[in-house]
Amino acid sequence: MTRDRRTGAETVMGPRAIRFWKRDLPRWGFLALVGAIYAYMFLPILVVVLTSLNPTPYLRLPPQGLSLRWYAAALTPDWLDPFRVSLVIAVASAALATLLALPAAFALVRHRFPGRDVVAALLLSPLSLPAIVTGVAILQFLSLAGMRGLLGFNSLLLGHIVLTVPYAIRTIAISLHGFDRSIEQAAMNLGATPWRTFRHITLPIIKPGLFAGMVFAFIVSFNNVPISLFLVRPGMITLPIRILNYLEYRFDPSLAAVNMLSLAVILVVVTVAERTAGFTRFVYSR
Amino acid sequence: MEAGNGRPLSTRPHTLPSASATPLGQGKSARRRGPVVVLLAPALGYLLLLFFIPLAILTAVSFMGFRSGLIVREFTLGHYAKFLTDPFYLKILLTTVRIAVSVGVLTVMIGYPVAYFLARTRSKWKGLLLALVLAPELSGVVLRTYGWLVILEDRGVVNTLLQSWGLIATPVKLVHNATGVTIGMTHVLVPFAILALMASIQGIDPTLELAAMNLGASRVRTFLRITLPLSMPGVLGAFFLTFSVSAGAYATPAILGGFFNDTATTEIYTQLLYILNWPFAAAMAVILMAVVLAAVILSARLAGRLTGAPQ
Amino acid sequence: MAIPFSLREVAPMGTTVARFVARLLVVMLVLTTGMSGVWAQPNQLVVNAFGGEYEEIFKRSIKEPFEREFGTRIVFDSTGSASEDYAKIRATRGDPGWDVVVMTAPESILGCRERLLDPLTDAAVPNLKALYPEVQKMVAPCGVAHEIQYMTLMYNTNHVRPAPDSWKVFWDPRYKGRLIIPDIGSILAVYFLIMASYAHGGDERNIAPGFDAIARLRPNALAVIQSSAAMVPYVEREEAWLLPYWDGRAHYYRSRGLPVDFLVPKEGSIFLLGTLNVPANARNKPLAYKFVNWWLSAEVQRRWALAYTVGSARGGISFPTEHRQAHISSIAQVRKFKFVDPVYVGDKRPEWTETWKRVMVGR
Repeated sequence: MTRDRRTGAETVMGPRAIRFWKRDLPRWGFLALVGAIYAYMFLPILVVVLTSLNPTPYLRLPPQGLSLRWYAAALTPDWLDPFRVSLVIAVASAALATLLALPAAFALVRHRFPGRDVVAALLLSPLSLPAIVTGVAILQFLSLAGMRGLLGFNSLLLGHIVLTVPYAIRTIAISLHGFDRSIEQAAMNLGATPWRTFRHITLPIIKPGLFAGMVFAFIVSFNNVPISLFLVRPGMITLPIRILNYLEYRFDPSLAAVNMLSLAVILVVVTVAERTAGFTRFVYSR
Repeated sequence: MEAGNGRPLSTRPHTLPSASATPLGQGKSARRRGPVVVLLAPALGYLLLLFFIPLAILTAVSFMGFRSGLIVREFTLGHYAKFLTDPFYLKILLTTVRIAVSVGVLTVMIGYPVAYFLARTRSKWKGLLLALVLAPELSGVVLRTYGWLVILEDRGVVNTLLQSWGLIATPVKLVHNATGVTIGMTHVLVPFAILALMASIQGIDPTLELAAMNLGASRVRTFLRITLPLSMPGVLGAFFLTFSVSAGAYATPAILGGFFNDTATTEIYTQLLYILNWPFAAAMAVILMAVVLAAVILSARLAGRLTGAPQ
Repeated sequence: MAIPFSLREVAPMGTTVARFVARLLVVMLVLTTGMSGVWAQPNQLVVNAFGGEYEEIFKRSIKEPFEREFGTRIVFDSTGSASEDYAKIRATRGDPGWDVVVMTAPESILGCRERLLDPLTDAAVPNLKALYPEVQKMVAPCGVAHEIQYMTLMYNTNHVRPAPDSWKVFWDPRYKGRLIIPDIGSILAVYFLIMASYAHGGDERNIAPGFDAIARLRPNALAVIQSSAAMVPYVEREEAWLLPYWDGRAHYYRSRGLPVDFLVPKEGSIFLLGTLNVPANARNKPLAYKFVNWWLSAEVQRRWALAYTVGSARGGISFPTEHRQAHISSIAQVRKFKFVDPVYVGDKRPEWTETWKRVMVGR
């Protein structure tokens, strides 16, 4: 075993010092690093929170007081209806994208076939095309095909899935890569049907990938502007589109309040899901 | 507790993940194409109908002429030629790729520690800690980007602090250039990298790490020799994901780049929406997509050769 | 089929997935109840315009009175800026689902040339004859000029003293780092470029002096911004002191108490026509014509001009003095502005955009 023994420096140190250098310092250093990254993640959110609590119609740092007036402005049907549309579309497109992605990810990781790289690239291509182009292309296609009647909920769902499928494929593929297939083999040797093996062995192990794919899909759909812009219809708009429309003429903290409220609602929903359906268990156990 | 039962089953091979592509699986599927087609059909069929066919219709426009504001029905390769021969546009493309690579690398580097922490922590708050990582994603892209503007501007928080501490005399340019775009876009995409990396790290059996440490390896050494190599599929996957997404992103470059710093995507938006030169916009979009896909395929093959990880 | 002991033990995880999906579906069903969009119906007019303040003013002074008078319903769609609206009209070949769409002159002219908008006749819209002829003919036959705005020089009254009298104030070294320049994607930037050219000895047909001037301005700019609404935070924080803007909302910000004022410099300025348009394949054209005609009536013109603080598109309306001074309210006032040929500008825009980018985009 390794350099530590051979180098003279280590032998001078007592076991405690060795433990410190080898175990504790990396551990505390690591936790400090994680803490710093969390801080970085929350820095701009802090600005949004401060903005939403600001009494003046524009942001001044440091803030000049506290006010909930923007939250009152956000709790109107003008904002709540689009929020509901966004939520439903995001949940539905996450679920459907995962269903489409699961078999495709299996094919890409488990099978070798000619043109596999090209197929893999094609399945990911909606990611790198600027979404506004996708939006225009889909609207043009629906219009040419005489399916303009789909505009609204249906087209939003269809369009968002185009964008969310690649994320789901990518994350499921990642979890499949680290998969030891001898376990499946063992299950089948013990007499389990392929379906049982899949359900009881494969699915639990790739769950982190499934979960990551769904969360991506939810976030991507919930935040999408460029595709929604072309696929909404009057009375059926998403929250980001409502915000965009508002931004055309006004730039005030009620938008920050809207975002904070929607974040709060989602966190509450997730917490409830955690209590009832075991959200963390879903992610962590295998 | 399920994890206890699951763990003995999920013992990983002590080699790189390429071992999972067993000769058995390879040989069998090479002969039987049927299942591959069936497995790929839903996703490919869906994208064919709602992505590739619509895109093909729009791509047809990229071969049409554009004169005095009107799309002219004629065949031309002029838009592609213009983009690919003009140093101005090539530079924009290069900037886009450069920013995308930086963002891809930074998101993986920043995301990895958090992903590792979340995958391994036994804290009872881990659900909350995971939710906290994702919360910024749901606080509105536009507002969050303006948040960065307030922080990074010449008279923003960072420059004001640095100046009041006497560290700098004149403000450091942090926005309206590639730096600002990279900072903002990295922030948007770090949670994505974290989730992708978690999917991979959670698949690594912790007993392998424990074994290494019991044999006297330091934490750092264990990480470098065991955890990192085994999580390479996640590292590459996360990189390709954030790289591809940042190449096609619009809101962040538009706000933090401030139109001093053009990316291919802001250029496509301008042509598509404001100049309404759809032929040129479509040509640029096709080129951008081709470049990103080629980069992904090539670097995946290269990485596969270097690490043995199939992508 | 014999199931091995170990598989039985992991079984709960498989059902967790199923349970998770099932709960998701239930939640979705609950959420979707009662959701439905609105679509064209015979006695209903779908109007697309803008959001924010605009929407509120529109509801008060256009939507509600029209609905009362005609016993019909207006469905208001605020999605999209004028150019985004046009992209939608083009992608749907003139069938975007709206009966009337509010845009600006450039989109109306292009829409007519591409046959995506409906040409309007005096017979269908009798009030067309009441509009300023020399203004209306710029957007005819598809666009209907229903309001006139103009590019104004907005400045901070605390810091810019004395009040500027020329567009050249932007090149004054005292205001380095205090300027906002619109991005060339917006028509505001096109106008700014043209006026920069006028201020430096050129005009729209000789645009080179404009680009020379913009190139010199580049290092002095605080920011280059596409959307005029996004410029406002800089004005509110008093970081930006000088910017080109539209008179309607410059007025609004002044009246809201911001330390700003706005004026037309000695070189003059250019007006922008807000237009009403009927897409070529609109579903409810008869009602659309009625609506357009109604908006052109003297009473509605006055109400809209006062509510939205913009100029009216027809003469013979009496406005309060304050409004007359700030906004266009007579043909004599219109004639003080430059009549820049919108067809020519439309032709040149792609070229100007490219040149602008080469000047602006950094090293």
